[in-house]
Amino acid sequence: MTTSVEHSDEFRAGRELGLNHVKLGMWLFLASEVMFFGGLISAFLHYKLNNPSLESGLLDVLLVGGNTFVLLTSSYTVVMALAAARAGNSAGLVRNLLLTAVLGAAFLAGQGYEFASLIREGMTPTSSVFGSSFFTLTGFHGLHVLVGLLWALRNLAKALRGGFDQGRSLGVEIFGLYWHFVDIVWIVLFTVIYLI
Amino acid sequence: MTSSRTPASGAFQTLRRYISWNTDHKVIGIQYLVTTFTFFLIGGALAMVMRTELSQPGVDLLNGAEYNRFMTNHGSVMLFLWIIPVFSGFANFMLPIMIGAKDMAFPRLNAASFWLIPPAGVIMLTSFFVGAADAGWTAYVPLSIQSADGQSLWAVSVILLGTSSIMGAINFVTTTITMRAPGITIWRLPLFVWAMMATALLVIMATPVLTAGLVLVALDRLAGTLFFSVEAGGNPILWQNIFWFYSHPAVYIMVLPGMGIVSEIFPVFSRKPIFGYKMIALSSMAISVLGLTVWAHHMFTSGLDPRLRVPYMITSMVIAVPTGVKIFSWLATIWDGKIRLQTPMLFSLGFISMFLIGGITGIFLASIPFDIHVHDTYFVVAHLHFVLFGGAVSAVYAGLYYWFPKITGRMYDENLGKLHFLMNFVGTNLSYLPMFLAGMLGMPRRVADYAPEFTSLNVLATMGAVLLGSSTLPFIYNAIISWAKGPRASANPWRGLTLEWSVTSPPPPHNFEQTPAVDHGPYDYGQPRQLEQPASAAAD
Amino acid sequence: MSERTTFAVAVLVLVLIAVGLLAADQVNLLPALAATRATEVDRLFRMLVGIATVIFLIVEGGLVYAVLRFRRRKGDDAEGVAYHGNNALELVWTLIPAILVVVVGFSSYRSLARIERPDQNPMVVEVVGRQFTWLFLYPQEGLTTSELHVPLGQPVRLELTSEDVIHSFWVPNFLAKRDATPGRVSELLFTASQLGSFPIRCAELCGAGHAIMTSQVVVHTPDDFEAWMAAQVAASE
Repeated sequence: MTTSVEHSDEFRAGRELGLNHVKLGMWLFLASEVMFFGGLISAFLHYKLNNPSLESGLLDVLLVGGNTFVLLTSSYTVVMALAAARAGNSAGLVRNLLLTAVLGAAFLAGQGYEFASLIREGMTPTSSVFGSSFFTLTGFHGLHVLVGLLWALRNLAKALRGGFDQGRSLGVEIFGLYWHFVDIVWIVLFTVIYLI
Repeated sequence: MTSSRTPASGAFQTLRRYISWNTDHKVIGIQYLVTTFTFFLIGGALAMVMRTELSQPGVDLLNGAEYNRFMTNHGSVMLFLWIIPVFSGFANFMLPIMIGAKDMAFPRLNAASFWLIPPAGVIMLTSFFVGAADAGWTAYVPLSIQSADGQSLWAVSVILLGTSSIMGAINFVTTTITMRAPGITIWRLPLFVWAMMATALLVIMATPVLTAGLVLVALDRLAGTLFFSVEAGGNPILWQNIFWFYSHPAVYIMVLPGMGIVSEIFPVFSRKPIFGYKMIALSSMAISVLGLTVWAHHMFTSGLDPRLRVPYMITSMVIAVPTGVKIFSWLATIWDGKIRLQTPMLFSLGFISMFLIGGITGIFLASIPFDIHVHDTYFVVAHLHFVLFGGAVSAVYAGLYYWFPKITGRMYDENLGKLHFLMNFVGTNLSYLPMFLAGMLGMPRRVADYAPEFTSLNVLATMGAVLLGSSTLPFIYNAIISWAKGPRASANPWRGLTLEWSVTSPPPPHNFEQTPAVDHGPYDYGQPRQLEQPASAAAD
Repeated sequence: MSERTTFAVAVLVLVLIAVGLLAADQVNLLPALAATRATEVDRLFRMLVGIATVIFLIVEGGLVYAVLRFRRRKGDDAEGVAYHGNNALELVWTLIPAILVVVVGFSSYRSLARIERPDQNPMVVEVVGRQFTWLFLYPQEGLTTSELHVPLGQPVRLELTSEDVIHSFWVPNFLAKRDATPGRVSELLFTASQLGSFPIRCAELCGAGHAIMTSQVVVHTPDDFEAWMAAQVAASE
C-alpha cells in the first residue's frame, strides 16, 4: 500500500495549481447539475412565456419568499460551520450543522405546504403545462435539498464523533459547496417562477 | 481495500477479476472495452436484420412496426452502449499511465461508472419483451409519448448511461488536472489526453440537458404530465431543442477521442513528430466549444422562424475549419516519414479517408437549401455512418490493435489484422456510398419499404453490410486467440515515446515502480532535417 | 520553392479547378426537377459538388501519394524528418478553408433567400398529415382530396399541420420539404414547372406506416386544373 507521502505525491500537480482533487470533482459535478437544471428551467420558461396560465396567480409569493429567506440563512450557517471546522471549534461546527439541517427541513416543510395548497386549489402536475413544469422544476430542487439534508445529518453525526477535529474540514467544505449550489439554484428558481 | 485493487494480468485464468467489482483503472478499462464491443455486435446483428429486410422492396421479414423497433434499438445500442462508452474504456486504461499516475482520481467512482452499463444495456434490450422503443434514437414527441412500455425502459436506460458518462468525465478531467507526473506540463500532454479533456467537458455540459429532457418524456408517459401534450399546449419542438442540444455535441463526444487515438498512431508509424501539436490540441477544444452552438441544424425543416436557422448554418460550417486543421496536420505528419503500414496505421489512414467523406457531406448538410431536400433521407444515414463507422469505429479498431500488446501482453496476428482492415474498408464504402444517391434521389430514412427504383442501391448496401458484418470475424478470432496464446509482447513493440510504452506489457499493478519525471514532449521522433546539400547529401 | 515545383503546383491547381468545374457541370444526382425554386437549389448543389471534388482530390490524393512515396522501404530503419510544424503552412490551411466556409455560407444564404421569397397571390392549400395519409384542403372551394393537384406555373403556398404526430411533407422532384407538426402550422412555397405526377413521401418517422405514407403532386395545365376542380366540386355535392 502507498504511504501517505506517496499518496499525496499522486496529487502533486493539483497541489501546485492550488486545486484539491475532491473539490475539483465536486465543482465539475455541480457544473453538470447546473446544466440539468438549465434544461428544466428552459422548459419552464418556454411555457411561461408562450403559454401564460391563470394558475400562476395561485402562487404564494410571500410564503415562498419567506421560505427563500430560510434557505439563504441555512447557507450562512454552512459558512459558519466551515469556519468553525477550520478553527477546530467542534461545538460551533455541531451547532451550525444542526441549524443547517433544521433550516433545510423547514424549507422542505414550507415547500410541502405550498405544494399542498396549490393542489387543493386545483393546480397539479397533470392539470396544465404550467402545473407540469412548476412541480417538476421545484420538485427536483426539493429532492436536491433532501439529499443535502441527509448529507448534513450524516456530517452532524461524524462531527459528534470527532471526525472533523484538528482542522480536517474538507468534508464540510465539499458539503458546503453542494449546499450553496442548491441555494443558488433556488434563487434562480424563485426569481424565474415567482418574481418575473 | 487490497481485494478491490487486485490488478489485471491479462489472462483467462483471472476471468473472475473482470466480472467483479474492481477499482483498478486497467481492469475497468478492459471491462468497458469488452462490454461495449459486445453491444457493438448486438447493434450490428440488429442492423443485419434491417439490411436483410431492405435488400428487397416490400415488407417481408419485418413489418413496419417491427422494423421501427429494430431500427430504434440499433441506433440506441450503437450510440449509447458502444461508441460513446468505448472511448471511456481506452481513457480508463491509458490516461493515467500516459500522465504518469497510478490510477484515476476517484477509483470507486470509476468502477461505479462502468457498473451502470451492463444493467442499462439489459434494460434497453429486455424492452423487446414489453414492446420495445420504436420512435428512433431521437424519440421525437408526440410519437414517443404514445409508444409501448419499452419506450419508458429506453428512457431509463439512457438516463443511466448518461450518468455513467458524466461520472467518467468527472474522473478524466480531475485526474488529468491534478495527477500529472512532474514534467508533464499542459503542452506535453499526449494528444489523446487533450482529446479526452475536450470530450469530457462536452459530456459534463451537454449530457445533463438530455437527462432533463428524458425526465420530461418519462413523466409525460408515466405520470400524466403535459409537457408534450399538444391538446394542453405542449410544444413538440421543445423536445427537439432539448434533445439536440445534447445529441449534437454527442457526435463530437463520439469522434474526438478517436481523433486523439489516430494522433497518437501517426507519429509512431511515420517515425516523425506530430505536425502542429498545439493546433491539433487547440482544435479539439475549439470543436468542443463550437459543438455546443450548432444543434438546430437538425431542425432546418421543422418550421422554425426562418431567420433563426442561419446562425446555425454558419456555426455548422465554421466547425469545418478546426476539423480541417487536424486532417492537414495528420497529412503533414506522415509526409516525409518512414511509413509502416501495420494494422493500427491502416485503420488510422482509413479513418482520414472515410471521415473526410463524412465531413465534406456534413458541409452539404449545413447548407440550408440543400439540407431541406436531403434532411431525414438516406443521405443523412450515409453521412452519419461515414463519420461514425468510417470515422469513429476505424479509430476504435486502430486503438484496439495499437494498444492490444500493451493491454494483453501479447501480440495480435498482423495478417488477420490486414484482412480485417481490407474487409472493413471495402464493406464500409460499399454499404454507405450508395445511400448518398438513394437519399438524393428520393428515399426517406427509417423506412421498412421503398419504391422499386431504389432497389439496386439497396442491394449494394446490403452486400456491403454483409461484408462489414463478416469483417468482425477475423478481428474477434484474432483478439481471442492472440490474447490466449499469441506471442508475448515486449514493453514497446512500436517504439513509442508516450509513457505507456515505458512500462511492461501489461503494466504492473501501480503502473510505475517510481513516479516518472518527464523532460520532453511525447512526439520527439525523427532525426533533425539536414540542410539541403548538393550531390553529397549525407546518408540517412 | 524551386521554379519546377512552382510550375508543377500551378499546373496541379489548374487541373484541379478544371476537374471541379467539370464535376459541377456533369453531376446528375438529383431527381428530375419540376419546380422553379429547385433550379436555384440545383445551382447551389453543383457549386458544392465542384468545391467538394477539389477538396476530396487534394486530401485523398495527398494521402495516397504520401503512403506510396513515403512508405518505409525494406531494411530502412531510419527515423523520419523531425519537423514539428510550419507556421506559414498552418496559416494557409486554416485561412483557405475559412475563406471557403465564407463563400459556401454566403452562397447558401443567398440561395435560401431566393427559395423562400414569398409569392404574390399564391394559391393556398392546407395540408394535413395523419397516420398514415396526407389530406389536402382547398379552402376556397371547400374541397378535400388525397392527392395534391396544382396548375403549372401557379405559385402555391402550402400550410402544413398534423393531426397526431410529426410528419414531414417531401416532394423529391421539387427538392422541397417541410415538417407537419401537430399544434403548429408551417409553410412551404413552390411553383410547379413541369406537367406530370410527382411522388410525395413522408420524411419524419411517424409510426408503423411511415414508409407507406405517400401521395402524388399532380401538375395540370391551367385549363385542365380548372376542369379537374370543377369535376371535384360537382362530385362532392
